Amino acid sequence: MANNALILLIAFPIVGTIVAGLMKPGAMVRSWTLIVSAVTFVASVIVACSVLSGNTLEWSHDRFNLETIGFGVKLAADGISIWLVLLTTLITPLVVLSVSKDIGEQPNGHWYYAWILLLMAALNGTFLAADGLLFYFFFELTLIPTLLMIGIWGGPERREAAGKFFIYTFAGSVFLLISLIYVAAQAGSFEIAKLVEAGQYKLSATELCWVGAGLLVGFLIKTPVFPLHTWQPLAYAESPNGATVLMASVMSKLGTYGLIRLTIPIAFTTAGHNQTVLCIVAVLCLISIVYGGLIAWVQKDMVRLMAYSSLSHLGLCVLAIFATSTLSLQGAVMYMLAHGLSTAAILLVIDMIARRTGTRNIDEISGLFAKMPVLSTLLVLFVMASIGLPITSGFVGEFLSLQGVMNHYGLGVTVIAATGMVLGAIYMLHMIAKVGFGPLKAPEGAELKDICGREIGALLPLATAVLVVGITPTPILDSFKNDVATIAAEWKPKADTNAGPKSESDFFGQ
Amino acid sequence: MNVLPYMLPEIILLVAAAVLFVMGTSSAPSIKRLTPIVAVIALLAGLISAIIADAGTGVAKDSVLVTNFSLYIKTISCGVAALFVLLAWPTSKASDGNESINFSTETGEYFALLLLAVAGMCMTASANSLPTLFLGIELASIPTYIMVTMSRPHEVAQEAGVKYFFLGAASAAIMLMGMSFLFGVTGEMQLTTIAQKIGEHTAGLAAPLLLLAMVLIVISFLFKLAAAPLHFYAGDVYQGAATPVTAAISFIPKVTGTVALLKIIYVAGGGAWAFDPKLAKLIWIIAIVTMTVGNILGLLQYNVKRVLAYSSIAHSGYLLVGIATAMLVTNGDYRTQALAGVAFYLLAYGIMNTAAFGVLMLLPSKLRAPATTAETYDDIAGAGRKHPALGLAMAVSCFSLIGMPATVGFFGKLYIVKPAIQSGQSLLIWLAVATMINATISAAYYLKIVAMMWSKTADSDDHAEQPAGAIACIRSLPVLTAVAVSVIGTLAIGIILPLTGGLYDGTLDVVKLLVG
Repeated sequence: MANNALILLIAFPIVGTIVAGLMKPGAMVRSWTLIVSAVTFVASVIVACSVLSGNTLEWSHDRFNLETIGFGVKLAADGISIWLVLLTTLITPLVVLSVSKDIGEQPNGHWYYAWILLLMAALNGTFLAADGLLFYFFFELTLIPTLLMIGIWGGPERREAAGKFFIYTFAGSVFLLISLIYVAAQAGSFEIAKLVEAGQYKLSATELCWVGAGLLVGFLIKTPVFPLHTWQPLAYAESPNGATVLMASVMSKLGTYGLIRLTIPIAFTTAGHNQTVLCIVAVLCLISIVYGGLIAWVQKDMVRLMAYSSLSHLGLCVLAIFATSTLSLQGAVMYMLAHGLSTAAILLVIDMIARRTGTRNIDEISGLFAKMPVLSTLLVLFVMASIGLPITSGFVGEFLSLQGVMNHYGLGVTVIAATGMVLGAIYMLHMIAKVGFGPLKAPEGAELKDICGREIGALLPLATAVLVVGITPTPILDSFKNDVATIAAEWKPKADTNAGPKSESDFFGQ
Repeated sequence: MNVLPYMLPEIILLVAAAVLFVMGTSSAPSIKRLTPIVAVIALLAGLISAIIADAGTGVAKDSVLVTNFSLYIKTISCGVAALFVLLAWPTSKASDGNESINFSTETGEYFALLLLAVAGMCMTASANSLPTLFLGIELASIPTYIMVTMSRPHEVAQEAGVKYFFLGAASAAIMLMGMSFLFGVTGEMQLTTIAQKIGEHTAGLAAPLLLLAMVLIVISFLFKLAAAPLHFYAGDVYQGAATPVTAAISFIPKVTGTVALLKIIYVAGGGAWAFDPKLAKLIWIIAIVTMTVGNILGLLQYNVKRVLAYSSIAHSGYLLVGIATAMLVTNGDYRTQALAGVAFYLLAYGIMNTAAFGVLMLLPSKLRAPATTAETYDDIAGAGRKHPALGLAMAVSCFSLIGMPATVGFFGKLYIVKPAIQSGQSLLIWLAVATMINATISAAYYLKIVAMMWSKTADSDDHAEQPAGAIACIRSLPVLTAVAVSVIGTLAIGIILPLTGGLYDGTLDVVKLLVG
């Protein structure tokens, strides 16, 4: 039964999309979308329970396979993917809750809800795909609803933002497709397990270098990493809030997830170990960390600030992924979850503030703490999680990532990477200080009332998740330890035979 | 074996065309109203007769050779052409046209010409000798020159028609010249016999002369495909013709040219795909140039019909990628796959392209004559906000033309580039890389069309009740049907994987005889 639940995680939202498209704008379609996304969340919890109790779930159906080209509709859930699916299904209903009236009740408002559900289906599909081409299929499919959401309901520069977003991502992913097809020729099938096997045993080092480059570019653009990030601030700032939340918290994880699931196992194991490429990636990540942090510091628009903050945080995440030890991969996955939770939450709060004051510019508002204590307290909590304060979700991932980076790259790189944490504290607290404290200032016509019931409904699950993950990380870390250990085991760089003391991987363990 | 049952589509279409010419002499609106019905029935009859026929290993008689590949081409030709009839369905009281097209008094003639062109496509697919091939191609081409000219009572249509005619005539002359060289070198007319001769005496025949003959013939076919650098007429002709005719001329010559190219290339390889490498490299270069020129010029256009013209050029480039792959690849399996990719892409292009033109026909033009339905970006601006269904139809069509998942265009591109990449030959991998980069470039202008459809205009920003006729939608049931059928087809083949797989396996089967 749990095996069939995998396809339901994709089928529910797709059915929901079609029905929502046929409905009329208004409260009905909102409730419908909420129900569909909540049901999908419940389904994902059931799947998660089954996976966490040690099963590996798989779903496939012969009728949907295109055997002539080795394409199979095959889904699988393991410890890594299930957490990302949970993240998606948790955040989507909250996004639905926070859709503003001036989008949801426009003549075409029901389509906005439909696209949210389609995006949810595509994201779940990407995380669950056990077939390389199916992964690509869903990976690309995420572009369509996002593009339409930005293009139809975005801010004044939406057309440029949507175009840039689409072209950048699409340009990267065509190389991903070419690489996948090339490896599939050797593997005889697009199944990820076979692709990985082919990468390890059948391809030469030169081939792996090219394939690896192709697999890297697409994911580094999606994440993004300097200098492939230029689409990101504009896209985040011009999108309607729901699209921004989903893009920043979940879609950016498609890139890092792809690196863990495809790029590293296929192209960067012992056979394809390529010091030059790794050095380039490491340097780009370090630039992202520092540059993203510095630019975030001087941003006036809070959403742009979050965009550059993502650049900085995910730079560390990618760096940890390429350190490829069990420890660093655990850290990276944890960091992905934490970043997803805190980013989504902060963006939701920013939207609530913007809706009350009519601006997202931190120079135009201050002293909101006095007027909205609950909302501001929640904002502080989420900001702390983003900075990585202990007992919040951000800490564990950041710490393990840095430790993994230290073991692999040594002190110098770690120091630079750690400046990201310092900068993170600076720009985040800078924002809080400006917006929260000082004399009360807000544009004319602002309605400064505190959080309302629906908004509590949207933020409370995230606040709970942030604290639960922060306080009891061990069961979560354990749940995907074996999966990342398998990936890390294939990675034996020639130059780096002892990747730090083994006992430290149990730092948060038994 | 009697070949006539396998030629039924051609026979039906020619008879129906003759009937339509007779009906065209009547000026009674009731007779005119009947003409499109006759045309659709004839095309559907042709479609069915092509589907149920099974030529097995091929049925040959004199200058005709019908294989399952021919029947496949006949099927998609008749099917897509039926959509073209729907697009041109007369809705005016006098039954002499609709908002987009004006037949004046020649309603019957228009549909007769369309049927003749389709018969020409079918004939090309069945041809097995140089004269039949030439006649098939010309039968598919000459009616289109007239269709372009008669589609609008305006000088741009005349200009487009004349341009198209003279260049088409020049290409026919080049083709005949090449064919006469080919006959001179081999002394044979039948394609299969020529192939045998070339295969037996590759060294003995006058190689430079043979290459010259092949290059001349190939060039004239590339003109039909509007491949660069023979693409210059496309923009003007597409823009000058009425939209239903533009839809037809983006499909009919492309299929004719591709099929003819496959036939002659099979011959040129001596039936065994053993080419003079120069010929293969020529196609390789032209494929890349065509895609790039089409897409880059597409970025610069203001008129959506011109955009679609350059998009059509780019898609010819994608077809040539498949053909170049088939010529250059050393592994027989990948050759079959590349050819199947080409065959699949013809169907995919026919469906998704018709949807785009259909949507244009449903939106009125804001400009002066001769445009009567949407032609420029201004015309479609904001239309999607007013009519979400049309906006979505255009989005589906454009996403499919880009090659996004969940549409037929995705599998079209996938099947074209897959054999090229998997062959592992560096020349072909670069070809695939160029194809995919071009898909990215093309995304820019397709997205512009989608963006314009959904842009906020002065009157769509206002949420109050719209004054009637702000951005009206032309209500034409036949055109709506054509759009609905093509959009549903685009999505169905992209999503229902058993259907996609079945179609692709079908194309793999039908091209096996081409590989020999």
